[in-house]
Amino acid sequence: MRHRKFQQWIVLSLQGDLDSSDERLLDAHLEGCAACRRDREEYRNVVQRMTQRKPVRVTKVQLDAARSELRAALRRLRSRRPGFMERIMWFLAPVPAGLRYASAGILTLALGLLAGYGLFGNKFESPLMPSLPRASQVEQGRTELTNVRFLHVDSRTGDVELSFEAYRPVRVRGNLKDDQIRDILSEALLNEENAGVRLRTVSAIAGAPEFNMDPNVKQALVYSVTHDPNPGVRKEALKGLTKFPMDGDIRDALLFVLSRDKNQGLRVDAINTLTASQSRPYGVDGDMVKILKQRVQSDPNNYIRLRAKAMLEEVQSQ
Amino acid sequence: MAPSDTDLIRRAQSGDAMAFEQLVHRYDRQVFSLAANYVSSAEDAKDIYQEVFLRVYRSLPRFELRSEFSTWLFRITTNVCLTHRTRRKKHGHRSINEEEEGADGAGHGRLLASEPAEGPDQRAIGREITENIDRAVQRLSPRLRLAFTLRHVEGYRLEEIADLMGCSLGTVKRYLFTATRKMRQMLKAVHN
Repeated sequence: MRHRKFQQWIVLSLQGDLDSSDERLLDAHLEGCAACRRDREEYRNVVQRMTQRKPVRVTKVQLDAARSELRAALRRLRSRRPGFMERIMWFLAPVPAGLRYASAGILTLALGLLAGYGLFGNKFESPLMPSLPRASQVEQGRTELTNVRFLHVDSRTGDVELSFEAYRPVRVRGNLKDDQIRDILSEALLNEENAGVRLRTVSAIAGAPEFNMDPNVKQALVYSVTHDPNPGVRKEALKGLTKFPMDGDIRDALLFVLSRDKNQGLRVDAINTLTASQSRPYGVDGDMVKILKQRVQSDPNNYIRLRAKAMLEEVQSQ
Repeated sequence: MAPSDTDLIRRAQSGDAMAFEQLVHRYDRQVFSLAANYVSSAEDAKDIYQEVFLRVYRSLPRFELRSEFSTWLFRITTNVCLTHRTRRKKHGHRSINEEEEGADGAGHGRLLASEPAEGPDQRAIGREITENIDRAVQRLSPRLRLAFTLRHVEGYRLEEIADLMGCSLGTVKRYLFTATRKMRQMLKAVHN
């Protein structure tokens, strides 16, 4: 037993986790114990080998793939609403078995009140609802409650604490010049699961006659051009970005498309936009030169190779 | 100036998807790295990564900023690791390093500490050591494996491991000792 304690100390000592007073006790023990000294050598060997083990390094490619899958899962999660049974099971899970019947009664009453409020309480205003432009708000649907969560119940006093989400379908008519309309569209571009809706959203933003240089819209377009799984959406987003003055974010997004996008049409659009914007000031750095060289050497598309070569020569001559 | 975690959390709690994405990007490499070092296949590491951030997304509205976001996040990560069931049987084993090799077998910076000056012999020996230890680590129980990974791969201090795993310092010491003792036995068996 005593030796087992010292064996644990040996391992902690080799890992650098033993405090100095125990270290002294261990040294004193090792001086007189040949078996523990042998063990220490073997453990030293094991710990040394463990430190020689090379940890896995996560690359950008792996991280991008994981992020893309996470994004898709989040979209599914946002569009999914839990079923009635699922909610009831969730509610009752944390309640002790003996209190479940009483809790279920209180819960049903509370849900009934909430549902009645949702049905008949036209003035119900959830603080979570975005503040929409009053003048353009033309129709509101009935509030639906979802994701109701049972936080606390006291079966003796009847006190309950619930949290829930309130959804209300809203139909609005407005203009793309309106900040709130643009915020809604940017949100849809990022979170809408349906690719057709994302495409219509990005087309609406990009095709507006009086294009507004909103930084949030730009960020949403940059995000879409680099991450959207649908090539049609990426293409429209790229078209939208060309309306903004060239800056570091847009340049990086275009280089990302040029170096990574599997769609040749998009890579052609990216290099055309980069070439056309050469007269405007934007940074030429090692990344750009590296990507252009890479395209000159390995892009399967002749046009991209030629444009990349011409651009590279121009960049290097500056 | 980059927004603080608190700003991003508050914005994410009020439904700002981009703020949530920024939070994810701030910490996800560390989460993926821990998962990849804890399990041996790329699919399993991705499963853990996704489950962690889905749990964070679901629980964020109830996060009250009483602790650091990173502490909370890595506590969730350790819980997900401990309850994770490997997909190996369903999908066939493919290690994270194999995935890195790519179809043409050309690896690109896949391992840490790969010395540029190493010759082929040293590389082969290094690979063998790594493989033997990987196999031995995978045979440890989930709690021992996690304590081992957090200490020897991720470099956490014992107190931090105790906090992440929700156990006492003494328990962590016991886990690490038991893991090392078992590794010693397994590696001895390989070499004999």
